[in-house]
Amino acid sequence: MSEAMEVDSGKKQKVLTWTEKYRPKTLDDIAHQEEVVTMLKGALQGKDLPHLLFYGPPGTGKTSTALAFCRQLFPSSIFRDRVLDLNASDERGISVVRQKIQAFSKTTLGSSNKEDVLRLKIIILDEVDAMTREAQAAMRRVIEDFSKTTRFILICNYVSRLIPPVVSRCAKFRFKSLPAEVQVQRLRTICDAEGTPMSEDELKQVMEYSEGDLRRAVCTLQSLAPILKNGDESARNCYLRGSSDALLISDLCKTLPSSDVPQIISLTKSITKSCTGVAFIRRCFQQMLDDNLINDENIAVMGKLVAVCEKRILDGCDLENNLLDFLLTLRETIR
Amino acid sequence: MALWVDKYRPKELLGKDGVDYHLEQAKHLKFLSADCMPHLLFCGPSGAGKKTRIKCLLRELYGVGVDKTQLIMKAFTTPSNRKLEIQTVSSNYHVEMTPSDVGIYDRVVVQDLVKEMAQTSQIEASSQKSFKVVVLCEADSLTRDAQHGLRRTMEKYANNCKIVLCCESLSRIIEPLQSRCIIINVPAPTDVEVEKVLRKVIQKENLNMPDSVLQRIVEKSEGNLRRAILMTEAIKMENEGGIPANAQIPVPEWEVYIQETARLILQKQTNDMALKVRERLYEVLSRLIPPHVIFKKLLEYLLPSCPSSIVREVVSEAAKFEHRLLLGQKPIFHLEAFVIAFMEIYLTNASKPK
Repeated sequence: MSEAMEVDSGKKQKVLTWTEKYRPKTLDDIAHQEEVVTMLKGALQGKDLPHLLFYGPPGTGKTSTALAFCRQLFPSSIFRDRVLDLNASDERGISVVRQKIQAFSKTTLGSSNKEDVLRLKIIILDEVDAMTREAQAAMRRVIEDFSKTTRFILICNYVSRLIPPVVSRCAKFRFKSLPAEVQVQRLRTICDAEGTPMSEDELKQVMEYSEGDLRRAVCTLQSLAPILKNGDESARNCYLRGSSDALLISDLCKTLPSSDVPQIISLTKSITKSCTGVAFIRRCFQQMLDDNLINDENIAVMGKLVAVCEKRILDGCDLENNLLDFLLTLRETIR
Repeated sequence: MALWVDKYRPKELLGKDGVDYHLEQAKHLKFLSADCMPHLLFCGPSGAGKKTRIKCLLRELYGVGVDKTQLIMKAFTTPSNRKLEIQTVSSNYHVEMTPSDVGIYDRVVVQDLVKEMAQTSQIEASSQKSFKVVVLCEADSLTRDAQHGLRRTMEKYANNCKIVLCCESLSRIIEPLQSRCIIINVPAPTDVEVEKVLRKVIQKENLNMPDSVLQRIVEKSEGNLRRAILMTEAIKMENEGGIPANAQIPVPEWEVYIQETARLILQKQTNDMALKVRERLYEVLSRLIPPHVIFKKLLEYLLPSCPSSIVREVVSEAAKFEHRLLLGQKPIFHLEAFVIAFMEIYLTNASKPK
């Protein structure tokens, strides 16, 4: 029986995505977020723990940190009693705040246990920025009333989407985008563990493509792994180029200043056939800035246009028209 | 009799019945399915072959069993106690659905149905893959709430459930979801590729089609392979006896009508003409042509006749009014406003000495 179990778990291991497999298990594994790690380690040793608010771009380790901290704080036997993890995949309307969260906060802790460092319960609310304002407002009193026994860890991408009263009740920690060296180092560890040969340059390309998002980098790495193991040199180069967007953009930067209006129109048509959406405009603008194609006075004009286009597209407009608008204006300003 | 589009849909990723273009990508997909499959996000314009690739991928994973599908209506209850149903297509191994069918309640679908499916694991894990696949179509019209709802589900139950998202544009997919998936970009096929596929179909059907017609179909399809194949079949149906070299490709009536309208706008820029154009626009709208399509076509016909110096201005105005059209209620206002704005730009430019 036990043998069968082992086989089973081995199989599971194989199916695990790398992002899960290499998710940091302890606070020491968390990359690059020193402030919050120092503070949490203090809490592990019995110092005071405030309510926490983690915010920052995707893939910087917010959820991982919260989970790793709770795992270290509570032995797995009492983990379920002490931690309530709610995220956007759960119903989180105002009624849930009133019932579930409040009920969990109200429960008093059982008889003291020696392995217990902090006599606290923790409620992790992931993706708080997706909660309605009413639900957030309902949390205000809950956070304060039960602060004797309960700590909240709120996690979100945009702190501006939270109502100020909630923000002011927590200690804020911003999770920084991971700098290049840290990411490369992480990716290197994973590569070594998985036996995927990769050069420093190739890792850098993966990293650039992911724009500071470690999860995306790991995800990309995993999708590349079978190809890399296979060792087909041409295929390797093809995928490492990253998205096809990059190629289109560098082409565009070269041809745009010299092309006339009909050319741009047909160019736009062909771009919309293959590109991936609004990110294209943003990246294009970035590239132009990097290449110093736009002079200082026009940066403001173009920046504004990028913002306007992005808004329109996110509201549901067609990419083609906005891209055309962007490119035509860009061409005029470059001249 | 099946339509040609379905009859000649590729059955597998690589090989005899394999896909006809993006071969490198097909190889990549094959690798992905062989190893541990991550969540996937397919994006690309319509008619580029996203669904075809998803189907091929599923077949690669589970064999022909995925073709035995059945329609199941799933019922669920919203928090406000409304009972709704959503149609799902499922086989033993996968489920396919379009959560945006139920509008703003797609959040509930994601939170209840998808999560429930993700939580239950495959029964016979020993004989097959240990995970199943949930295909969510039209992911770009999922509401923000629904997309947020997917985030943790995708991570927590990644072991026994892989999610495949299918959308036209990445712009409306929130960053956190993008970072959880491998993005598979399926660009539209080039004209050469479309032609190749069409030739293959024609050859298999023993059809005699003049090259000039074929060329025109390729041009008209604008990289939409499905449209290209449908057009080919339509032409064959219309000309039973054999296709003449000058065979007309059927153009929808309303397109001709809009083209005519564009000509009128360019002809004269006066109040009377504006009134006339309004009538015509009402006419098209009453035929239930979606306003944004009218807008696009109108601009398409207007632009070539504009002097290059005003193109930028026209396009800016077009983008502005298109956005307003989307936010507003009555399409006619915005269409008309654009027409007037265009006339204004056109006139001032014409009166300017060159």
